[in-house]
Amino acid sequence: MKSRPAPGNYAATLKDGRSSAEILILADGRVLAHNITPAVAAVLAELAPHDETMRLRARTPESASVSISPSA
Amino acid sequence: MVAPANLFPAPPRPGRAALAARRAVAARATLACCRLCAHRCDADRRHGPAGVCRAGPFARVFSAQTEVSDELELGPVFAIALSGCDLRCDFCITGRESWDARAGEPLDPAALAARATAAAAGGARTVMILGGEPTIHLPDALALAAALPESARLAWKTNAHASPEARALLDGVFDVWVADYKFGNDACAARLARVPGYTTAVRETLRWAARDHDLIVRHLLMPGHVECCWRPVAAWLAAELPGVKVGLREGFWPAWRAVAHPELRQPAATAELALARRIAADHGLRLIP
Repeated sequence: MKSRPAPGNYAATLKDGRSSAEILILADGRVLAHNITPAVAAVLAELAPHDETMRLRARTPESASVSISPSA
Repeated sequence: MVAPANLFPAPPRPGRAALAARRAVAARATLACCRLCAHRCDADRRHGPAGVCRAGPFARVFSAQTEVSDELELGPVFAIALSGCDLRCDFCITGRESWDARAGEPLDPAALAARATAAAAGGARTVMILGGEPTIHLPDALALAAALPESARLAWKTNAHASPEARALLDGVFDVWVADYKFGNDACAARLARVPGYTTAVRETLRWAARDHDLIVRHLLMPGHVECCWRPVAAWLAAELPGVKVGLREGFWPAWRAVAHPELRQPAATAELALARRIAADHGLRLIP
């Protein structure tokens, strides 16, 4: 999965079969998400383990191999 | 090996494909004088972009992927998003594609059906057709429904601003209707989405959909619109459609042209979210996650 190539350029994801999702993290710590794929749901469930519905959304075969890795 | 048609968990709907195919032909014939949405603008869409939606005769697709954003009882969903819409919501999260029916790629029913079937093998439980607004592309949306396995659970995600003619063409094809009820009054609808007579049109669709379909009514909670939009929506649903499933969407973010409206320049405040939930509870609404 890759992030969306450019704002509004969904067609690119159609051509090559990639998925796209959008996440907005607010300064108060809230996380807003749009077009949540199973893999992104798995990441969000790790970020917010108290969020029961996100845990349920993440429970799909496609999300099974996701992990969070720090970049530095 | 499991036959592709059996990958979906829903019981088969014999005859649905043939019904959808017939309706697709009937819908195509209406494009000469289009009344598919409640604007009923009588545009001739057969030769190119026309009418309020500026859509031509053929649908285009800007996204097709498995998602888990929708109500839990639907997911995972293979969501197929068609470009173009009959509303002009300044805060639209997919504004670029929803305001431009030329965005995306041509709709290929057979290819999308194959992808939907593959998605089912990967765990998708529902195929959802959405937009933009799929009602304006009823000929191709129904052709797509005709191409999908009859065992697929089909969801129609709509702004509910359909005409009676469109509803008649859709009758019996989709298992689930996910319908937005965005604005609690016509003034907000006219200011934020450039649509006149909004509440009358949407309420007609919701009453109709509730009669024979599994209906989920969605409301995107907009900052600054709890009292003017959510409260009247909640009151109407409680009075007119008691027990209907309601998806209260709390994840508004200031997308597209929302910045043009001061109250929409930020996400909803936590106090507004709490008030919205209290309103839902006070009206005894059946909120679903």
